[in-house]
Amino acid sequence: MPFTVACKDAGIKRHEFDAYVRLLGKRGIDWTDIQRVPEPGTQNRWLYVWEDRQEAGAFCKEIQSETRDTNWEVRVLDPSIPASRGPIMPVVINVTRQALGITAALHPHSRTAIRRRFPNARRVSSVYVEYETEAEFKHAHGPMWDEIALVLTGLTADQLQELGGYRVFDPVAEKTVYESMPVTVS
Amino acid sequence: MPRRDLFTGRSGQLAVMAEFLHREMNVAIPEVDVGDDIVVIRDEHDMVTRAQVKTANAAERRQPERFYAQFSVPEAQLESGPTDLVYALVVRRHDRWEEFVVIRRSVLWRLRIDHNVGSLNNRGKRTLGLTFTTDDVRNKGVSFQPFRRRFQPWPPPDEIPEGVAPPANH
Repeated sequence: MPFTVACKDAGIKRHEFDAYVRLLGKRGIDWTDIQRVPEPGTQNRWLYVWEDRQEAGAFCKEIQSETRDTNWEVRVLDPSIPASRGPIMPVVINVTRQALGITAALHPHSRTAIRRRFPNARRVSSVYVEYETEAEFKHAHGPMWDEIALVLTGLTADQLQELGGYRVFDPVAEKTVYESMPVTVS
Repeated sequence: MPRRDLFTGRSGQLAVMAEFLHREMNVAIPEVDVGDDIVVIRDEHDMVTRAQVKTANAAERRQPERFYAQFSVPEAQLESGPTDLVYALVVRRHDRWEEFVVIRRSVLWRLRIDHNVGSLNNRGKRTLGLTFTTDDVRNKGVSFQPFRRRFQPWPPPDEIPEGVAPPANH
């Protein structure tokens, strides 16, 4: 019987999800290609499917301790929820506004994912895009983010899709600026 | 801020500036303090970068030549501060500025995500306690030794050097 480890509150907090991913990695789980189910209350973010209750329980204890949050629990997976195979999250591109434009850089977990799955990718550290007006940033569109994502990751469009597409996130505003189409690999 | 801290902070800032000048890199202090303590100018490359100085006093440990120093940085800045921002963590010991740990913000952020270095306090600051020995500097199993006195190359590359992190999770 499969299990998940999730938080009682719908939608794991961003920094807690970072810890969730790191602790999976610490256990030798390659979270770029796992058996997964959608995380309730979120879009294009997933939970690892545990086959063994004891292992799930041990993980739950560890993440409770790490996040100092006792709301984490082991859940029996509802058989009506289909599991799929793929990465635990898409590539995350963090953007920060600077001077006359924005700087885009990969989230550390995304750097790890790219290095692990595509070790020869020639990614760059950050991409700076200068705007003439603030309004241009507000109206930034998909094709522009596609270009930035390809330059930043050094991947082809197909490789990027293999990693679940990408999400552009503004950590200061705490909001997703753009999300490419989520891809499910089964 | 207490008067003592103001004097200590400026003293550490000047010590870091002296290190840059000694390496023939020009430095300046912004007229208004908006968080970037030092601007570093490399004339030959027309390159301007920023360094933020954090100071701490050494606390000696029982073992000889082993001491501890604790720094704090705002978590929000660590995550989304300027890409080129560099932290210079300076330790006062033996009545002088003895140790310098020079690390790029983006690299420290990566170590926080990948290895959970430091710990978050309830004021939104990440405290980073470093244990120094003669040949290593550590926090939570991560070695900061490659960042010790790392003033060159400048600016520091946006990569985690070899020998920092345990290989399994890096």
